[in-house]
Amino acid sequence: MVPNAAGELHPLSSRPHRLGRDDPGTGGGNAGQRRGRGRGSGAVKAGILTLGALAPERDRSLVVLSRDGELAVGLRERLERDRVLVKDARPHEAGAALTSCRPWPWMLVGDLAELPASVGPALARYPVLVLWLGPAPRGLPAHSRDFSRYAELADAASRALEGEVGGVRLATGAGVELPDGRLARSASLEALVSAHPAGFDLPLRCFGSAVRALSGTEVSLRPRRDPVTRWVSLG
Amino acid sequence: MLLLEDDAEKLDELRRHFAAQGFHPLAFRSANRAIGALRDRGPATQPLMAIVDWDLRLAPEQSSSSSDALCVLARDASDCLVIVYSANADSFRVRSEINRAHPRAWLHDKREGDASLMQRVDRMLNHPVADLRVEDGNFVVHVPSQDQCHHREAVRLVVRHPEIVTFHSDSATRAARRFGEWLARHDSAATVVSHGNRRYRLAVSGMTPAARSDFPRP
Repeated sequence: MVPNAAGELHPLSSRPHRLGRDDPGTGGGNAGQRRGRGRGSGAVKAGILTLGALAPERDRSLVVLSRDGELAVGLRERLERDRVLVKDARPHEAGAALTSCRPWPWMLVGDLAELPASVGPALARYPVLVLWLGPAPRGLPAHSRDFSRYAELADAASRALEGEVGGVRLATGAGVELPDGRLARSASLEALVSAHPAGFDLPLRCFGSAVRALSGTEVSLRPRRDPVTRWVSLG
Repeated sequence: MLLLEDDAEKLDELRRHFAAQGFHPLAFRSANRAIGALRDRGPATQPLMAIVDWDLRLAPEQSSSSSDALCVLARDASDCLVIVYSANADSFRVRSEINRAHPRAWLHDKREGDASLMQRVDRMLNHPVADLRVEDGNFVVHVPSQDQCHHREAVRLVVRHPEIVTFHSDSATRAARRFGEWLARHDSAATVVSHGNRRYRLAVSGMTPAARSDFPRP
């Protein structure tokens, strides 16, 4: 993974060949385009328009994968909208929904019994918080959390937004606020702060932008790999 | 301001209401006309706000729907504040369709009446942020000094507070920075924060996430 100009690791969006290709219904090269849904006709049906939920987004984003949208509606009304954007996607839109988040989604929530093929590889590369309603399907990373009740899941999502570690907390919209008031644009640091004290079952190299964001600050925390669990967390 | 309402009488009422407040309403009865106007205007001149009727059954043209218009707003005018009003606002299916078409759209229950909608829009446009307020939808006033800042980017930052706003041109970005300097000169409690990539938001000093609940969006 190569840091890009923004200091982040290689963004999901640069890999459209992976995300979208495996998704039935996204129309091959037309990943992210919407067909024949809703009350519309014309342009959206013809695949000319992109569904708003699949439009590129640089703010902190939460992708919800479900068959009927009820989970997304609940989370959208529960979570502070200036803190996170909820993208309501169907299983066949999973790849397009993930790639629309720049550099990657802050969180993935779902209730599907089977994971769309495009999701697993993305979650294996990037620190995305994963919350699941019901039993976690095969293919989710070890750091994902599953819940039997919606209220518990919504509480966990809310707590992840409000997390604070050593004076570092999520900023409004995107990025993290450092104790000295500066804003750091690091999606991997956002993920680590939200997951704290837990972490991610990912290689340490996935957290390069977090290391850079914290270096030179008064914060003594750094991404560290637990020698036993091999998970990376702030410590 | 963009208005999309299939009922000609109601559209005219909305247009007159917002024109009287100093806005320049772009009023349409059909979604495809609204979409055409959005695309003709380009990102640099996107509307500050859009009010969209979810049910456009009376529209003279039916080739596009309200959902189509919302998709275009979400993608091509992402910083436009959008209110969708629907008589089925309680239905999670309708909410889901609206969220999918435009994840940032605000939902208003049509059954509460037109006056309720207009009052809500007025509150959204006029809500004060720290020592600032927007007047006539056209300029920002620093209340203690009564000085005015007439950049539309300044208005957009105040109206969208505390959300991030993306500016689509160098001149708009410069205007946002100048607004930040203007705030500093006036010793305002509000500051302009850069998120990079032409993305800015207005922050209020001492306003923690917990404190934000004192300032709910209308």
